Amino acid sequence: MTARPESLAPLLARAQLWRGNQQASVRTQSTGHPGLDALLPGGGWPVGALSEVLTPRLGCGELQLLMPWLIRLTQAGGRVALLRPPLLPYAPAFAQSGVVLSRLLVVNPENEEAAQWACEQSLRSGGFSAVLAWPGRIANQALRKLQLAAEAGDACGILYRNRSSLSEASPAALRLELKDGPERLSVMVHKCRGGMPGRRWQQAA
Amino acid sequence: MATGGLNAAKHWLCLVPRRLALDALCLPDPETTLVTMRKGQRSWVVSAGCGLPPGSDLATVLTARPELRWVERQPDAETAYMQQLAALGHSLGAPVHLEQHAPSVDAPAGWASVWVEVGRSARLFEGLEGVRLAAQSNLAANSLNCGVAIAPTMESARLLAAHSDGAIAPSLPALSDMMQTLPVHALHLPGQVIDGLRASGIQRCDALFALASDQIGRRYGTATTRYLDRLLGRVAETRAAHRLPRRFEKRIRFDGNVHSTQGLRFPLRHLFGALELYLRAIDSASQQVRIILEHVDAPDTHLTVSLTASARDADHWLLMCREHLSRLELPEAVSAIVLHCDRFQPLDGPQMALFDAGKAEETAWRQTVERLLARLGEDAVWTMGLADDHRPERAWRRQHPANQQSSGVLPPAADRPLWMFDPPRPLPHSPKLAGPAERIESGWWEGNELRRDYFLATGDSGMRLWVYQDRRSRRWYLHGLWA
Repeated sequence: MTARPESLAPLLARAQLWRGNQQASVRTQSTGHPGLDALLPGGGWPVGALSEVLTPRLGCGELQLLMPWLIRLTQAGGRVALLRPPLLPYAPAFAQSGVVLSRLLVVNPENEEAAQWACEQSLRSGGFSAVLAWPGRIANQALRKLQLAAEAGDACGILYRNRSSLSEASPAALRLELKDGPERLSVMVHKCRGGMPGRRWQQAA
Repeated sequence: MATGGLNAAKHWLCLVPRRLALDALCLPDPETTLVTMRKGQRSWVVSAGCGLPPGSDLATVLTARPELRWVERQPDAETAYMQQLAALGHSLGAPVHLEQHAPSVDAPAGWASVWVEVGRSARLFEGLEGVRLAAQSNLAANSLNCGVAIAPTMESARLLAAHSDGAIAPSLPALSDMMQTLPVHALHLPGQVIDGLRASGIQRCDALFALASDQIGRRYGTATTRYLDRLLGRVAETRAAHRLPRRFEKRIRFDGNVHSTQGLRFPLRHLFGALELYLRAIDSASQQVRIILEHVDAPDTHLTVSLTASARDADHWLLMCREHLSRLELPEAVSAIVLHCDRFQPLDGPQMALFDAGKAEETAWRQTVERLLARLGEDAVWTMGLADDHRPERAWRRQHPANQQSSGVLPPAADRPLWMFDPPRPLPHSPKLAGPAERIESGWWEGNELRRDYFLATGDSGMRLWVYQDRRSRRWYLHGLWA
């Protein structure tokens, strides 16, 4: 066998690898939290689809949840876009975590309409492995457009939304609710295409 | 002197515009337009989209065809068009020659041609057929309406390009065969010489070539003999080689004013097509162009379009421009548009034939970033870089996404939050501190003097905050948030 371990990372980053698991039809990228992966169909963030992270407020671990994945993705050469983040992403902190800064693009349009356009462009382009977006209030129709764009670009679209949107239907393949508590991440799976919803994961202390 | 042998080794490709005066104007409706010229009392048709022969009297034509529109010819636009053809020539071989003569009473359409010697480059194109095909597809891609031919002498290449488009005469004997059946009026000779030939019953070239050289000289003048010597490769031709200008500039003046950015797309396509030809000719690419929109009564509108990687592809530039134009509000109708480019770089990455998945992804990323930059502006799209400064606001900087170089600066050792408030938010009361102070100060000599004590603090529902107290005002501020 001549397989070289370092060649796996770029494959993972580009989502070209099918991770065989109990649900072979879902292509995913590991979240980097083994306990959480175990609850998700295919074992991670679905590729070519939208996922929603529903939060009660800012500062509840919303970036920590994604950090292990973002680190691995950017270090393997993948591109990530942060779309209309609610506060200024602080470069020294991202660099401390191990994120490769040059692979992280911040896009901060003036209004929601431009943000949705930019989000769709980035998802559809095939140039980004992941797009993290804070869309604010967004109509179901617009969500469907983004879902199609993610499929076309084979990207992971992560939408941060307020917990209150749980009452609205969504075309997202995965909906995770992040509970309060920045010390330990605590996640409730509300919807997962091809898997079983209603399960809970809490980060080990 | 073995001039015959010398010329036989050459292969001149010639480009002859079919309706220079008309096509140079880039009109949206050339079919119903006449381009005219006036000299003294006389106004005649120089070029017409409907097939009217050059030289037709304008007043007579308009009486018969009142639906036709007419415009005066624009010598500048014609020169620019020929420069574009010359640029195309430079991408096919070397040297390149250009000749251009304005219309006159004797030659009512004027004449102009570009030649390029393609003997040496033919191998790159897999033969003369390949060169001709490359020329034709380039012409078609840029909507340049020209005849093309390849022949061993410049005069014969021009003759074939104008009268038997697509012809290739690989040698002098082959050329001589091809010219036999051409009518004598196709030759580049003064009108009275042509008339004289016809009057003596000489209608086709074979009849003329059969005459002895001294006989021709006596009857039709030595200018005619010299022309035939050049045509048939009996003497060498000397012309100054064409040099490309050092910068690219092309202007299209509108016949009527253009009122919407939508109306600029068609002329922009022409301009970027010309730029692509120029960039190919200098074997280069560019990362930045300037577009100037001229208005009748308002100052010019300037637009700079920058890319993250150098490019030459017209479609790519056009796409980027559309995003810029969609954001633009015209102060007034546009009377002319200028494309200007004077900074050149080697071509970056993706236009090579080799293409792998990583490259495709890289190209997709670049193109998306360019679209985002173009539509949202440079302030709204950035990547982050670290800066060597202990003041929190200055420990990083925004970078243009094209700048992929790491600053080489290490992140600070102390823990920092992922979210920052910009600017810091004043706190109404002192926060619940949850750690020791980290003092951050800057001397007055650094300007923007700063004296702060930073703390980790706990907010509502256990949020982890980064707060500081300004040591002079004693006020508290919220600066960051762990997320």
